[in-house]
Amino acid sequence: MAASAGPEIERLIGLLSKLPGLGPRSARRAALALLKRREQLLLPLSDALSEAAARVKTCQVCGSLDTQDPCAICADPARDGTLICVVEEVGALWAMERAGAFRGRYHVLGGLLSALDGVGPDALRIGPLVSRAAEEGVREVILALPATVDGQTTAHYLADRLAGAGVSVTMLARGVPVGGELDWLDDGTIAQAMRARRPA
Amino acid sequence: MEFVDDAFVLAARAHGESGAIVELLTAAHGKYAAHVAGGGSRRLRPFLQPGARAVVTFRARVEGQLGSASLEPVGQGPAEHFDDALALAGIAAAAAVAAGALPEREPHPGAYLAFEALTAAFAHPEIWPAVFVRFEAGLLQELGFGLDLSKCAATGAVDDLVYVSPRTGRAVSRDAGEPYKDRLLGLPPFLLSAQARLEAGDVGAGLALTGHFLEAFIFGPLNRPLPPARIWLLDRLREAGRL
Repeated sequence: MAASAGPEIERLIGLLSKLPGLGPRSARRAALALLKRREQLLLPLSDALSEAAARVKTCQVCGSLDTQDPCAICADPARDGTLICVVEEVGALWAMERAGAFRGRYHVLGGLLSALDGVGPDALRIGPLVSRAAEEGVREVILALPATVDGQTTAHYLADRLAGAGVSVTMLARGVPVGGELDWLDDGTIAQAMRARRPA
Repeated sequence: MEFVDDAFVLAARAHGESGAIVELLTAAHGKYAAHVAGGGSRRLRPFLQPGARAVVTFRARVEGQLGSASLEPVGQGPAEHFDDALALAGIAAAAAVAAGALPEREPHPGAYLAFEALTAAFAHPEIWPAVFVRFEAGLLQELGFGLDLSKCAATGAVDDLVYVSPRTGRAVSRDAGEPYKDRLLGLPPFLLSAQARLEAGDVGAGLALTGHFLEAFIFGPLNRPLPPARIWLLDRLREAGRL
């Protein structure tokens, strides 16, 4: 630790080190960069954090984060309301939006079922999803969940829960990523891709 | 210390900026926890799933240190069963039971072999729940609490063994157990012989049997409940009409 730094700096480093991807060492570098560039970085960041804390809220419909509730996506009439894409966290929603491959609406679960970590259905936004899926006009729920044991366990659980909602439930395909060379792929991915092959 | 061994991943959690602490069940060295550098990376994270198989190279400067490991994936791992909800629940439960029951750094080759047999059985949906019961019975045996199913504890009879004493883990014949049958645990035939037909209710009886002894002899003394993953598995099997 930076033993010679004052308590304010220590507190800043401590808080930064709690961010994902930042350990104590990176947090110290980040704190130093902020303090060195007070006008360009530190003060604008401080303002941005205050503003985000004051204005950003969770969308009551989909669970995404936005300054408005319902969020911009839920409120957008140009979005296809017959499609709901279920994602684990807001980060996955942003990834889908970056890809620009989906023009429907989202539902953020807030995590995954995890038998090992003891995360059960009550800890996730599953009830609201079932209610939304049962609404008139919804025709497909797309489960865009991670290809992990927990992700696929959650997907199967949701498929069961949505079975009575009268909607089509689909999952994302699994297989060779764009730019992926077979030589570098793991056995599981190659086998999944082989099973999911399609006519050329 | 350093060793190279076959292993299954039991659990992994993120550690630090890009690493992970991984619990491994190794073939010859038992359960080991290790830091895996880059375990949180895009390349390795997808592989660090319960049930994934690897060749592990473990290194620690001194005995007792957490140590670090590098892993070379082997085979498809749990991805093979992504389309099978029950098998996924089985993998999570097996990993959780092994992780919770086995002591650290104590060789238990039998536990590894039982886990290996179970992972191979997940490809056969009709039999793996029974193999899961045998896996748990194997774990109990490996840890010194094996069931004695060779003969009746009361009469010495070797035929018609249908109960197990919840106190001693010894088999009891139908005749000897009749007066106490409400207090005895059921003994499914597939635990006596691998060739026995699997009847309705056998898997449920087997899981109740191994669950009782895991709780009484392994998890209870550690002041831990049976892993939630195992309870979930029972729920899923019950919902699917497989108990």
